[in-house]
Amino acid sequence: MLLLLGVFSLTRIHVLKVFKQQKDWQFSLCLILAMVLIIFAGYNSWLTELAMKPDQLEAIAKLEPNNWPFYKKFQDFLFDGLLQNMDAAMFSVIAFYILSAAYRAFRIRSVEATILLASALLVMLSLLGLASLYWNLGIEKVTGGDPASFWNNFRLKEIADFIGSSIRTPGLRAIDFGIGVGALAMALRLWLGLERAGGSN
Amino acid sequence: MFTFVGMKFTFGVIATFGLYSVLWRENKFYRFWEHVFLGLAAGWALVTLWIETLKPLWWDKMVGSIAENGNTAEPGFWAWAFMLPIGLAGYFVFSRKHAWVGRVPVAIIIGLWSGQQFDVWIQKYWPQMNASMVPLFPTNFGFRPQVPLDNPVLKATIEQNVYLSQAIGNLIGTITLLSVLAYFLFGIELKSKFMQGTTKLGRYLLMVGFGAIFGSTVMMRFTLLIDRMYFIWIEWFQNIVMGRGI
Amino acid sequence: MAMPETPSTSSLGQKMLSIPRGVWFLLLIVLATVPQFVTMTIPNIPEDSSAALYKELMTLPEGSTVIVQTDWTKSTQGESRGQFDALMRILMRKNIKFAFMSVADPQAPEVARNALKELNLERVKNGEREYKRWEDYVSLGFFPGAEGKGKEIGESMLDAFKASKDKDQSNVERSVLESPVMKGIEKVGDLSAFIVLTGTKSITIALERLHDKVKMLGLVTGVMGPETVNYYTSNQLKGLSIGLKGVYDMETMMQFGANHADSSGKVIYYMKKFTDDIPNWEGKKNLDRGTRYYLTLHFTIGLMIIAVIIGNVGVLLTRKKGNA
Repeated sequence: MLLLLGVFSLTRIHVLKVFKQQKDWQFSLCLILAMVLIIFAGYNSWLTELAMKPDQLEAIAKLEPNNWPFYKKFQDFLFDGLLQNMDAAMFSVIAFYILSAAYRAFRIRSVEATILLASALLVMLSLLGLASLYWNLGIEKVTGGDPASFWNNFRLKEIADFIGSSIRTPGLRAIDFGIGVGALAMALRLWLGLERAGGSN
Repeated sequence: MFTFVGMKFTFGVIATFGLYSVLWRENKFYRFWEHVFLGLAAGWALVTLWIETLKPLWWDKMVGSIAENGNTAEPGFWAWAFMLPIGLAGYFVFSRKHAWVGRVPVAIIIGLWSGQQFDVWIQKYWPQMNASMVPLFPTNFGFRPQVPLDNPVLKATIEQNVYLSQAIGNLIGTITLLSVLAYFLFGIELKSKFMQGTTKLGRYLLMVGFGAIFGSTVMMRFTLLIDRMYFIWIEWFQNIVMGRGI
Repeated sequence: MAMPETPSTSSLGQKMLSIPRGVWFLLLIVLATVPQFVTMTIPNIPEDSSAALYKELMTLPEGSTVIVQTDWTKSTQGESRGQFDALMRILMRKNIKFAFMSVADPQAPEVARNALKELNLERVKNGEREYKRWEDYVSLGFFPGAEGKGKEIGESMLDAFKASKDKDQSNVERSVLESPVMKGIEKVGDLSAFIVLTGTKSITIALERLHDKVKMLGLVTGVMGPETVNYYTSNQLKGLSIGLKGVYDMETMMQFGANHADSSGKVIYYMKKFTDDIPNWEGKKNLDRGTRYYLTLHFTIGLMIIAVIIGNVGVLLTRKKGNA
């Protein structure tokens, strides 16, 4: 029930904006229209399929999407065609900002920044099969193909695994331990009534 | 292209370009699609909340069901009706005078959460603490052979030893764990030079973890972008517009 | 007297620092698009965690039941859909029954159902048996309280899912506990595995409550990867696939096997952690989204690395010029 709190708040703000004809109220109208349309499409689709017989449902499931009945097309258009694609687009926009931020702000200014950059570069390189391939070809020239050679420890994957298991994993584990102790302490404070934030006076 | 699938993909691409237009600058085309997206997301949340959650987990339990289609009758349980006022109490946050009522469901949730924490803490961290106890002293002062372990005798021989390379790795791991933990000791003042050096080392070693997080995040975000480009250029442009078909 | 003009090459550092972001965005779009038209399998060394996941999936008993907690939507489709497809292909080829549920996003169940429909169509086209809802898989629903649901599942599967309904072959909504998928499953330990496919912290919540009661396997996005590896190294997770690399690892192992000799007797992938011969899926569709996107990822990450290098070299040159 509480999940609807956000939806209720959003609806309230935009409905008031439309009624009071505040700035950009037209966009709020679009939001409300989109919400009403998908609610109608979703429930209509659900109720229609609930009332159908199994052979009707089976027949519809076998149809090509272009031949679907209107209720199914309507719901699919709004959900899969619009909502899902926009959801993906919103998340992928961050890739552009990451690139821009890396170009502008990722500087070797201090020891910490250098270590962070080096670690990020190593992880990114170890993710790339081609980078591993060419690196390992160089190592193979040194080892002469001997699988027991000491120099095999300097393959890209071995280095990345070593740094991962010896430094990265313990470091992140320690952060996790810190968060865990904090969560335990917070739970204890709640139990003992020591947490007063948000309480009424 | 003017089939249902073609129109669906086309509008999906237009919506994608609409959202990408914010990269150029804030504009009305972007704002339109942003609002449409919010409306659709909020509306779908309302649909699934009833169909997937409230109806099977609350309504059907409260009202029960009659015997039909081979199913037996299930009695309803009237006490589920109390969930409604508790849930609706959350909406009192919008009232200035009665905002305190909104804290009741939140308090129940937080209480349930905090009650679970002790068991959860043990379940989550005990195996990790176990995994952190690693051998630090080598039994074989050589490097671990990087050979395929298809020979069981060779495999047993290699695995029963703690090689120097493994011991060094384990030592580095233990130092990392302890120094990063030491870095988070904010509650007490660390006067000794040893502790100050340890926290400094912890800070540096923490950066390695953050670098890994950054690298993985970059991989994920770029993969999302690659997926969108595939949708636009191959699924829509090549298959639908150019007519190479799906 | 006219002042001599500053040579343009003396502001190379400044030029490097003033590349407009529009250029970077355009380059990123081009590099994220053009390589997708090239089909190429790149040599790969699977991660240990991916290899462990493949081994665990391939050694699940045929006909057993697993729960798949699917918490992904199209927002993480690039990685999660590839993981979902690879996972479902293996489960369906091994005739393993599965029940899927979601705890993190109300869109997730519909997205999973749509993806399953497409995979089923692919199976039918390739002459494989269609996976039937109710007989072979059921949808348990969406449960917004992940903590509470996880605890319930850990205590009793019968209590956790007695209210969950799905449509049987006659389109009648019945309790999922009556389906062939969930028959005989009374506690979570009766499952052969509990698999979490997610882009959120829902895997952590599930692990906290279930790791000691059932075999847990994870397929997570790149963002969740570094923190979830902790659970794999402490053996709370028996196998883990991370991001697009994890998808590519799965697809190539489905193509070549692990410690498995091909027809010419050559072993493509030797695994460090285990010596078991895990076969491939000969003659079936194995390479899909992961293979398609992996080459393109090289170019985009390469651009990222170049951007960082140019930015830092630009600063260095500008500082040197300033000092001079």
